[in-house]
Amino acid sequence: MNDTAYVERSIANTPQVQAILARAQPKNIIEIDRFGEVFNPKSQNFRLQKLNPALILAEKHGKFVLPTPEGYGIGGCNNYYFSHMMNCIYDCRYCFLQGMYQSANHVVFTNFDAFFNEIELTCHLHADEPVWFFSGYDCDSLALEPITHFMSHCLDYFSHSSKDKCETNGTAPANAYLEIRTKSTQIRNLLKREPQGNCVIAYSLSPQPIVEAIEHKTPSLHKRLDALKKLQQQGWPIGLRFDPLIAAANFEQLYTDMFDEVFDLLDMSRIHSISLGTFRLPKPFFKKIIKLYPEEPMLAVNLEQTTSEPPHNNNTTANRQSMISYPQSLEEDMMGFCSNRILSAIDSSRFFPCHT
Amino acid sequence: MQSATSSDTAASAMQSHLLWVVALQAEATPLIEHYQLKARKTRAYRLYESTSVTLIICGIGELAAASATSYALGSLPHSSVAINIGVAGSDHAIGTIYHASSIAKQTMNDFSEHSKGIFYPQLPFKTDIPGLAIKSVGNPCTAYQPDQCFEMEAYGFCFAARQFLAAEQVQCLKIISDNPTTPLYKSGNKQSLSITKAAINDLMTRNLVSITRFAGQLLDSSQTGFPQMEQLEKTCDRFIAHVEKQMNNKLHFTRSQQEQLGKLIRRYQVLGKSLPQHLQIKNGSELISALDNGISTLLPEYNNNKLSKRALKPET
Repeated sequence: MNDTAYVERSIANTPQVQAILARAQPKNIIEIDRFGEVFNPKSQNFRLQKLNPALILAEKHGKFVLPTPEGYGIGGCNNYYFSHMMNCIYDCRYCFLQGMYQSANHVVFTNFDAFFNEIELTCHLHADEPVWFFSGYDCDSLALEPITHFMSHCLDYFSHSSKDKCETNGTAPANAYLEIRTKSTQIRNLLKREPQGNCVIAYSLSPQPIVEAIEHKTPSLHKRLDALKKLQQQGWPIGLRFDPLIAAANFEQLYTDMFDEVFDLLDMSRIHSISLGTFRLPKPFFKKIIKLYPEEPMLAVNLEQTTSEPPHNNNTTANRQSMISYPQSLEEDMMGFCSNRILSAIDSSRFFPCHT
Repeated sequence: MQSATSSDTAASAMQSHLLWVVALQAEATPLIEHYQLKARKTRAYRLYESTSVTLIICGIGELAAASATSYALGSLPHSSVAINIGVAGSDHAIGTIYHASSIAKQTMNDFSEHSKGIFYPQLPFKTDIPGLAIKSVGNPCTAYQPDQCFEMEAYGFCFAARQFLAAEQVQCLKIISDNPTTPLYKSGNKQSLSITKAAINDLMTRNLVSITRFAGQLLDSSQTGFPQMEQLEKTCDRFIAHVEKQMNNKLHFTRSQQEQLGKLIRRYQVLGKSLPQHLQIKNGSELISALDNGISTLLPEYNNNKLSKRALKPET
């Protein structure tokens, strides 16, 4: 898939990197000192790079686990996210990643154990409470799994079953919960494992016409539902993420059709959680994305500026910034319509709407 | 001569441009013939061009490459692509062509834009041409190595071109002209080069199909990477002229209003709505309000396999 791989020299000979390269089989392997040499230069064209992104294997430093933005969660009080990758193999036109980085290359951090060490420390900060960790924020959790095997290691770590344990990872504390958010149908490894009650597999879902028009390179709605069905049948807790809702002239028809299909196919009594939110982006990201894709209809509709949490909030007061979202009345109509439909299928204790 | 000129077609379709930067006339001749370029007199450089392709002969060395590249790119559109092509020495077979996977210079004491002074040209397409590290040297070098090739222009070319273009639009191709078996100098005598003009011409000609295909792919990618919004300005000017004619008066816009107007007209175009033909307005500000009102409730309609647009509310 990636025909070029850039590898940080200091980790080039580690077993993790060698294993990833053996699976990825890039034609060109280029050693670099730090991934920023390739990832951060300003004179890069994100849209051009997206045509043929490279794989970058790097060692992560600094913070591995960060608090989620306000409103991001599924009922827990302590919510954190982590990203073993930067960027995504998919190309969804609403995604903030397009406005976030200079580069469209796929960075994979290979020091997996460092993530788990920080997850453990974070759990100890909230010793008597559940702590949720969200994967799939700066990337899709599963899309590159056949190459990275990160989620496999992660599930080993979150497993309390001795059968699944990996020798080196240790075990997540009992109060640790994981959400794996994805659009990918790469579930073969999940289906080989015993379901884990503390790990929710959450799929982002959109009506098929929106998938075709906006969620480029992603599996169809039908394929995602097929994956969800298999996971649910095997006993995995599954979550549904209707986020972002996309405004459309035929909005009600689109979302009615999708909800009908989803609710008919899945056992709604065993859905772990459903979340809901409309399209929104931090203003600086929106400005960058509109320059990249000025011909995109979903970005040409009437959008307004509000003040809200950015995607990456390390400091909840200092980092408040302008968000771009639909006008309030339109957003309320969309949220109201979908909420009613969802609440006809599940009880409100499992429903988590996110208002901008 | 090759008949395939997909790069010409692609370039003219998007008013983009292909720039070749080469050090020697012998390297240039096969390209000039292939693209049917005509010589244009300039004060400083030998320059050849067609409507969509320019070739500049920069001369030998990093500074020569940098200055010629800047000279040529200064007048080309931002969606152009630039390729430096030439011969290089390495421990690889003579005649093998490589694209630059990295470009470093022998010493890093001057003009490094980059923290490490290394460029990593990334291809926005897949190619059969293998990648190789390039080291730009100040003097001809015969310390041949398998993991890199030596030449004298790529770093200067890349440094200058990246002032004008995105990294992906700036690429280098190198053809191996000398190696340990056939070194640069005959019997180690630095006065006696083993490479002739005819040999260089032959190396270029033998690789011409790969070279021009590479250029075509780069231009095609550039076309994809740069949205085609060039009609916007024309539409904007035409629309304002139409409104002014109706009003029988000249409209004035502040810089901020000009930007707003541009954004609104882009939204009308993207959402497929016709601009209003009859407006009751007195000034630029009212025109902007009227356009805004006309589009505020418009949303795209998504259907299987297609995207259409229609107004939520009927136009009044």
